[in-house]
Amino acid sequence: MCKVCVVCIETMAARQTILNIQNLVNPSLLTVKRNYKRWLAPTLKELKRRKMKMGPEPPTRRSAFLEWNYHAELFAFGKRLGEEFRKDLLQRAFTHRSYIVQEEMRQKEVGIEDPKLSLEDNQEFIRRGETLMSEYLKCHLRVALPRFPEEGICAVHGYLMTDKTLAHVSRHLGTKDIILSSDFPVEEVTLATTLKALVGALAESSGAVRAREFVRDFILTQLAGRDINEFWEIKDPMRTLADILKRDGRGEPEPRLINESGRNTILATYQVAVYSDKQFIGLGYGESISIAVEMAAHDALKRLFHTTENMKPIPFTVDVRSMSYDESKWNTSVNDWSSAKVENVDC
Amino acid sequence: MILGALKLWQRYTCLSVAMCVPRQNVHLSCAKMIKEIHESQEGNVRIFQGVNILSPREPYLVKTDDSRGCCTICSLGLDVKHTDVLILSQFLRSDGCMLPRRVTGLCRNQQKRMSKMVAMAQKAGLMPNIAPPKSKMDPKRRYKWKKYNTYFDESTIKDVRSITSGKKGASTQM
Amino acid sequence: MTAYKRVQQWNTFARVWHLYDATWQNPFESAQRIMKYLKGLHKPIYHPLNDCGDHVVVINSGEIALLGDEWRKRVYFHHTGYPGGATWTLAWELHDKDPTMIMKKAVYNVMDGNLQRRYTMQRLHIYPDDDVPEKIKQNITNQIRQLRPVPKRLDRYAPEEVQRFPKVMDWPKNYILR
Repeated sequence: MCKVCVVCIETMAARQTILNIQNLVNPSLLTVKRNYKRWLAPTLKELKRRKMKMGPEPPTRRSAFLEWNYHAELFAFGKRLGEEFRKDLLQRAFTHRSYIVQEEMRQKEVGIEDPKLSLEDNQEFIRRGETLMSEYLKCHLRVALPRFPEEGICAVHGYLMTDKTLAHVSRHLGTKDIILSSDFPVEEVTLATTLKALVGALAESSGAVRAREFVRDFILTQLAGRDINEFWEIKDPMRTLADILKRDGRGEPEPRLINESGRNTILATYQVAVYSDKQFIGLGYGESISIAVEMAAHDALKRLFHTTENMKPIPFTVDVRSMSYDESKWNTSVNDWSSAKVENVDC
Repeated sequence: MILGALKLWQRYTCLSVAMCVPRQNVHLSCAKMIKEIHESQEGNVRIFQGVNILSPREPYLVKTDDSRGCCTICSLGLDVKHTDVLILSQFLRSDGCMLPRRVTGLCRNQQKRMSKMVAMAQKAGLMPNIAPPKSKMDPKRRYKWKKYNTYFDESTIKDVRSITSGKKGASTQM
Repeated sequence: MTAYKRVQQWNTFARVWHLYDATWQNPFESAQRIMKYLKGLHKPIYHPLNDCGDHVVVINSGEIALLGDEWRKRVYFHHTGYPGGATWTLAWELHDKDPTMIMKKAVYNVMDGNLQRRYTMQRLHIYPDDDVPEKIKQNITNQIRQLRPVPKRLDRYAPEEVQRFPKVMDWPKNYILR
């Protein structure tokens, strides 16, 4: 009802302008009307009021638009990324199982007894893409961070493989409108699995090397500017540090207060350094001594693992062919980490 | 006191040996004396003699290369400040008066500089122990604003040479 | 925000407590330096909009030194706002009344007259002597270097030190000392 009214008023306003234009065109009918348009503000106000009353517009599928050309979009998607996808494989990568089920149901509703769709879903690609992605990421991280314990590598890998990270990448690659799925607007899971399927499809069409480069360029780069240590939380850093030092044959870690300021204020700050055999091994700070000690232990571990803030950045341009894919070659676990074990792996 | 002692010594030397003045009245080893009475016995004769004593400053005197006839401060190239009381106090009498130029041996310019700086140090209360006996020794007990710490700028001391050099230079050129 | 980022932020914006001994220091020259610490101008993270100033504890403000005859030439003006309410107080008179006031006014006047000035002044703690409350004393962890050396009085030197100091002058042989 409301909508009709809006349309009426809009057409009326349009008609009036048309009349005015006709008047202008025909000089004999020209009447000089230079008064205030008293109707304009109330009309706009009314339009605004009705619009507000109706609430926000429901989201519409891009594919519902008249000029939507699915095949052109698919073609452009591959070209945008600079990848050579096989067209059928790419389309298959975007087609989710839920979409096929939905289509079949729709056809049945219409009355088709035995609906036959010439569509295949992307289950296979998802599985394949996920394996490839996971293997490659772990391998790359192990090469880039040879002193970082395996637990940390797994934590970083876990972060990169979360739906949130993958969905973020996927959305910004522009998959949102091309995905064929029953859920709308597309959920995070769908976006993430689509990306995995894309990697699978790419491996199928252009080979595994090309797919790994894709993973390196779009997923691994999510680590750029991030602190590697923030993904892996060490439960008792002082204990871990003591264990490692013991394995190295060095003295017990000894925290010492080296700086403090404003002891009696709420803005008190303390700096604690950890020493072992009178050698400085780490520095931490915090709002209380216990926090500072913990942070100092963290810092000492970071220095041992070579993951301090000024570490050599993770290489994003390294040639993927040069990396050996040895699944069995894991990094040392933190539980038996010692300096002697990581001596020869240093690069 | 010293004069008195000297007079006594003169009287001692003039008079016969057998004078029986109590010895306690004669100060034998006062730092300010320039002569000391030495007593010795040779047979029946008892000899009192006055010997020049060395100045206590003698061993600490700085050797200067004054071949050009400069004064000590000039030849040493010292940049003396008014806070260098260990140097400034050397030019003073015990009551805080500046010694005259013929005693200090300074050039005209340095004599003026030193006397100005002595005045500054005294105003700043840096030499309270070299002062007239009746003065308030502690600068904190001074009157009104004088009890507060004050420092001075040595660049405000005018150079003697700069005033007279114009005339002298002109006369030599002539 | 990770724990590391949190403590890093905390440490960056920690307020350091500085000590400044005003003995024999010119308050107006010292104010220039103290102001930099109060506003945080000595830090690389300084920005007028970020609150990174430190605390400064000034001790011995009663022992400040002024140049030449400034004690009786410097005048502090105050007006009560009523007719005839103007007063002119000499520096030494003001110092008699409150030995911290000259130092405080010197720092206050050296800062820009913006809304931040009053809050910055709250971080300045002035004491006329070295008797600082224990709670404040425990906060202090740094000292600001003095601008000029503190002169030593002649009677504070040991007599041997005075005697052994190199001499630039000796009395003539026949000079009688007084």
